Amino acid sequence: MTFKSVLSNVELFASLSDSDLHDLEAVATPRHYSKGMLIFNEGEPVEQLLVLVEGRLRIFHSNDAGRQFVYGVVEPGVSFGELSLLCDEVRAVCAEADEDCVFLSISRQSFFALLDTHPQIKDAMLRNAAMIIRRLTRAVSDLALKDVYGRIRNVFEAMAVQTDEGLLIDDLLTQQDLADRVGASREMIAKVMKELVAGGYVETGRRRILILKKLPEHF
Amino acid sequence: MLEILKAIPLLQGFPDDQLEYILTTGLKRSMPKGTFLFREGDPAESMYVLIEGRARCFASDNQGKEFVFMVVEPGDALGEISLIDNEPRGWSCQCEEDSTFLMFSKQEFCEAMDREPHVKDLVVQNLAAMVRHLSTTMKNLALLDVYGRVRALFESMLINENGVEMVSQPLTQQAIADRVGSSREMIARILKELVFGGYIRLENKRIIIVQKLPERF
Repeated sequence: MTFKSVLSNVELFASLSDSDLHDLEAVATPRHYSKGMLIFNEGEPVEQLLVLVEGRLRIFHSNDAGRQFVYGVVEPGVSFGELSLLCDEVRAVCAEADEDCVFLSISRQSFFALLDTHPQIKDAMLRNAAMIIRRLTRAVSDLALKDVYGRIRNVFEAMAVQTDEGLLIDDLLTQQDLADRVGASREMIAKVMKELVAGGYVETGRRRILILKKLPEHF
Repeated sequence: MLEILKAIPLLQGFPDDQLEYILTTGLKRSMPKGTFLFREGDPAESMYVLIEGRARCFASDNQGKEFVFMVVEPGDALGEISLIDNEPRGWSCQCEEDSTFLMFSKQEFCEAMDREPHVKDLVVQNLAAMVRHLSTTMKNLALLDVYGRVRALFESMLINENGVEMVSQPLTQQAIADRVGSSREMIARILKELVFGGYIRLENKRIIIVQKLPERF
């Protein structure tokens, strides 16, 4: 897979012609990050647009006490930093490589040059921003209005895949991972999981969770 | 009317002809306190600029619990997201005071963005600010306890009037609860402790900050 084919799948660049994409690839620099490396940190100035072309990363917030809230996991084809570049702001979140990652890095200068020649990219930025706002609104509403169980249920429903055995979450999730995803303590997750197992709703195995029947509305 | 627009901090720096354009194109709508500008799930045909009053954006669950994640002040645009992605309203918006808006149809909004690159840049900036605000809200909800969120709310609303530090608007316990995602009872307890500890004083529904609020409760 060439970098160009990944770039063509990035929402921001969907309107670019083949030759434009070729030019863009020519000014982009590949960057490699090994699993576990911090890619950017909340509060850092933004100097380039990053496009994830290979691997997977985690977007999260953390506090001084080292607690993390993992907002999401991002797959290739997603761009980071275009809004901050345009509005001259710092990174709003942290990102860490969940697997070895390859990015294409586009400098501030190249990005602004591209915006000048292709103003339609701003329309894609608006659509992207609207999508992020809707997603964030759902996330904050869930945090404010749902209890821990309701949020665990959300994560399970989003991650479960239909297999021969039934609905399966096979993502090597530890209780701490789950706690970081729903914004709760590990102890709380352990309590909820124990109840779900006792109630015959789920079966937990070696870092996998099989959903046996529809999870209850309320805990 | 032009003077009202000019007095809005967010619209300062706008040339007169653009303000005139906003005034002549926008349809003036006045709404009493409590009116819904739109409700979650409504189809969307227009966007608004608040010129007087205040409105709150909130999500609610099916038991009527509300979470207010954004307060709209004069000069703020609202309702443009649905015109950008053609999806129904993602949340509800209600007037918190008697309010006046300028209303723009989807067509007017899109034409203005196409004709004036400056307008499009403003919309991008507005959305970027919203992303940032929501991201901070999310972080606070996930990583701070209720007291920490109350403190963050007070600090974000702090004004200084004649040397006295206070929260810029009168807030009921329920209003604070809806803004930080907690129960009224929990807020009552926290406020009581803060008063008892000599950190705040409640006067005419206003919250006066007597000394810097403690890091932890």
